[in-house]
Amino acid sequence: MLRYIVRRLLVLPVVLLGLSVLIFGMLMALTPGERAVLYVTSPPKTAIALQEIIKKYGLDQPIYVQYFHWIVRVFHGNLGWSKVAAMPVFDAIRTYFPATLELALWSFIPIIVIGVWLGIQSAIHHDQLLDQLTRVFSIVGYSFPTFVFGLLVLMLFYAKLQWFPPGRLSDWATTIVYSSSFHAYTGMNTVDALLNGRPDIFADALRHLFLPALTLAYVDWALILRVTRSSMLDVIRQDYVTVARAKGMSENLVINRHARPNAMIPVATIGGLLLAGLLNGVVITETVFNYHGMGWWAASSALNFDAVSVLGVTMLAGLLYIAANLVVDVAYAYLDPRIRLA
Amino acid sequence: MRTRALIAFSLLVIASMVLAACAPAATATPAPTAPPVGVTESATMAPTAAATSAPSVKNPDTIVDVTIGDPQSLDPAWAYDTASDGVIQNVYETLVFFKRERVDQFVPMLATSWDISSDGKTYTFHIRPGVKFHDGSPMTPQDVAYSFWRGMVQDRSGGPQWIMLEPFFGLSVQSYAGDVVGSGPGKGQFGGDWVKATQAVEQAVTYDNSAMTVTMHLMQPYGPFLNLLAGAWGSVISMPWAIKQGDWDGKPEDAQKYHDPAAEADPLFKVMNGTGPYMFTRWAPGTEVDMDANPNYWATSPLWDGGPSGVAKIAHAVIKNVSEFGTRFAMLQTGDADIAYVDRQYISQVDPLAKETCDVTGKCTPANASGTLRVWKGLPTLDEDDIFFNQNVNITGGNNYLGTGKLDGNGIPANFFSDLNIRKAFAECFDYNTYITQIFKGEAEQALGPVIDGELGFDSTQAKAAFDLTQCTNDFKASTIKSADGKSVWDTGFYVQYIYNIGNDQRKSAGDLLAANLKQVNPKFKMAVLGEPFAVELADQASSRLPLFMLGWLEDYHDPQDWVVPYLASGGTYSGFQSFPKDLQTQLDQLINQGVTEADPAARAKVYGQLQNLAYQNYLDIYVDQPQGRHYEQEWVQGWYYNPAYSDQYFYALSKG
Repeated sequence: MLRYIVRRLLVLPVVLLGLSVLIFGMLMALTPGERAVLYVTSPPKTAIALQEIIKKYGLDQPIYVQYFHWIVRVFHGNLGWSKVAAMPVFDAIRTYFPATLELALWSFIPIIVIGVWLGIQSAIHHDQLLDQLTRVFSIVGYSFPTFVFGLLVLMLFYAKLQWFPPGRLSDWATTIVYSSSFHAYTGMNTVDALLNGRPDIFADALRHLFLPALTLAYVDWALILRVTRSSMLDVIRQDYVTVARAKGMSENLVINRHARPNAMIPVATIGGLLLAGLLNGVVITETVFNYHGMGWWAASSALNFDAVSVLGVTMLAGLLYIAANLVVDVAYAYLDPRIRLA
Repeated sequence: MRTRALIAFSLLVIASMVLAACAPAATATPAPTAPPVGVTESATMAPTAAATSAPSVKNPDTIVDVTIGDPQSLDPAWAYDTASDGVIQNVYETLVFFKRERVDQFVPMLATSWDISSDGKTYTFHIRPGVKFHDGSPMTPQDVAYSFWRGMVQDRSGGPQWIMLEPFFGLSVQSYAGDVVGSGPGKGQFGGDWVKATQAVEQAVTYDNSAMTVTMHLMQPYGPFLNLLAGAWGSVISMPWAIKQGDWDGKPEDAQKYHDPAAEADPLFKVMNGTGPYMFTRWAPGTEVDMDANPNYWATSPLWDGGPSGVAKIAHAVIKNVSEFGTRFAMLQTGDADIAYVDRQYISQVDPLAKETCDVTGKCTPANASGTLRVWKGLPTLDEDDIFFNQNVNITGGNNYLGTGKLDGNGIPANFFSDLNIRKAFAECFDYNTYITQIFKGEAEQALGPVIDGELGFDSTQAKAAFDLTQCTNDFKASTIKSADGKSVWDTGFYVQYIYNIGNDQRKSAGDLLAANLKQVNPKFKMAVLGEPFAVELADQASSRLPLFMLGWLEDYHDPQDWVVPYLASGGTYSGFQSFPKDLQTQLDQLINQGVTEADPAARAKVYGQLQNLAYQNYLDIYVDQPQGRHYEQEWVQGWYYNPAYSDQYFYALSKG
């Protein structure tokens, strides 16, 4: 198992290098002038201003020269400066990733637990009322555009009821979190609040997480539910399940010990990719709820042609997807003993 | 069992969130804030009393302005965007400031008075004594002089310092390094000698600490000079503090190192130390900027009658960047936003919440008795949107914007818009009235030229382009542009691409309107309306590749000079890439120089009137609209007034209650 993990990790630098070459290659589609206007926000005031900027940032150099300079800086631990975030790319990742991680974790756990449970129940009560209801639930969830759902819940639970505000924290909590007396151990407000002994800030952070987490969960519950249901239906029709029932095992044991573990394999795949997707940031949800995480940063960077930020986000995305796939593969071995990782 | 445990845990997670929402409002006492670098210790905030009933004014100690856009830099010499200037104008101060809502009258701010020499080339400012920076250090005339030296020496690419360089080094100067220092021997004003050039900067702005004066020596009389000084780039910073942050020490031999820094390399990028009514606390890029009231603010008496004085009435000011309108709207509804930016296309959603509607004079009329907002309408803005013609398009490397590049019905030649008849025809095919009534809901006026309404030289009675399809037809038929086989524009038709910046629905609508009318005049006239990312449009415009595009201009300082230069001067932001005929360009440049150096306002007005007329008669652009703005605030916000020269809110004038 260890050898397998190490072998998979050795692939990581190659993949990251490939990704960076791909992104830089795509940048060739932009002229130096188009890349230069990252640095101006209004029409260049003078005829030579744009040329000066192009020269200053080396944007007219051949793309391989620009790539070389970038990769050398990366090897020195410098991922460049994010114009959008107004800080080094590395610092921007350290700032925005915990926000997204926090949202992802608070969304992912309910997504998996409730989605899997509903999927199992739906399969067990196949074609009965519960099954019909969950299928409608999943179709609606999957069909509902995220931004529509997000705005609806924002209008209802915030504008109308004032229960769950957007953003990450209230102003009073923000002031405390950024004061010298508060230590940001992880960058996740809920965790840091508990570590700092501030249950009031923990509660405030949860209030702000509820709506974005609900929005993400509602859409993704549907996916997990459908996959689980489909997989369970397939498994409970297997002969060994019939034999288990015939041997007189309780239905609970049949489902939980024999059927469910095998049905989880495709769920693990989807779940791993889902988590990786959540960790890379969900642009629409973060935008609607003014929750500035990786998704917001990635989208802003792309829209503003902030190439180094896009590169940073892409590197991180590659890293996360590789890690997620590795976790999924290891999970396979756990779920199905027949699978041996060489 | 495990399943049940997991389900129980998950439900617990959800329940805890719901309970947290139902919990009473936080009553925590904020801990004292440690001062950021270069900022004086902020006052410890008073404990928030436990809420026993919902307050009528939400967050009475804090004013929250929710808008779009994030500062590019907090350095007043570097910043050249409204989001940055919106913060700067609350933290830093200038020698003179606008008198309340007036953009053409100034009050002493960091200067108590000033003298102007009879030739208009020397300004002597008497510096206000007893003013302290936020770090507690006293402001001296040397700080004032240093602020201007530093700005001109820094002159970052694409920054605002070209505005200050003009009066001190000449009207043709566009950059410090290129035009003042020079790229080498015989180039620029100092042949590449940075030391001599910087010495000249320091001689242009001199100071006397004992006499408490700063004297500015201009290259030529400069009519709008006081306007320039009121801009954010005229802010005064502390020289010792700046040096402590790692900035230039004021020595000419060291100046070159501090020229044109990238934002991140600028020592003052993320720190502030001003004299203003608010002190900078924190900037979370992309999210918000926080400021606290300056407890030691120097203004013990108002700068204008009825103006604010003493410590700011609102203890904390926050400018939040919220890009999504739905979220901003929700924050307005809940009262979490005191002031919010409302995109024009959404005003119909917000207007029903208006309790009263006010006009620019401050006269308010009741609207919806159950509303919670105050809406200010009909606010004259200092910006204009126009459709620009490029009379000689850059076709190096090919240019898809021209279609085939020939007059064959599927393209246009690069010099298509060099024909006055073509330009006239396009202008006459644009339905100004429909555009303003439908797209702006009537809240705009047709622009007459580069000089906007409210500027010196503007004449509302001047002739203007009019929508007239018959005249449009006649002018197309009168065009002298011919195809390769000698056919006329009318017979061959054309295809051209009109570019606007994606997301700007108004500019898209303008293009759609024009395209429809062109097609109506002649079905062979095809105009594709294409949106591009703003960045791409700017790049292509500055490369002279766009034949026809719509952009706007927001005033830097309130003077017609700031309009005629970008629109009409050789090397202007737009005109520099539009290839006007040489004779016309010479005439325009001469008038521009005459206008800015003239001291008599009446004479200046005449010159700018002539420029306006020339622009119209030559149909250099389609002058489309000068919009009116709106301002949305909670009913509990008091003291707001409209000054179009402000980049954002001037929180010092505001109170809540």
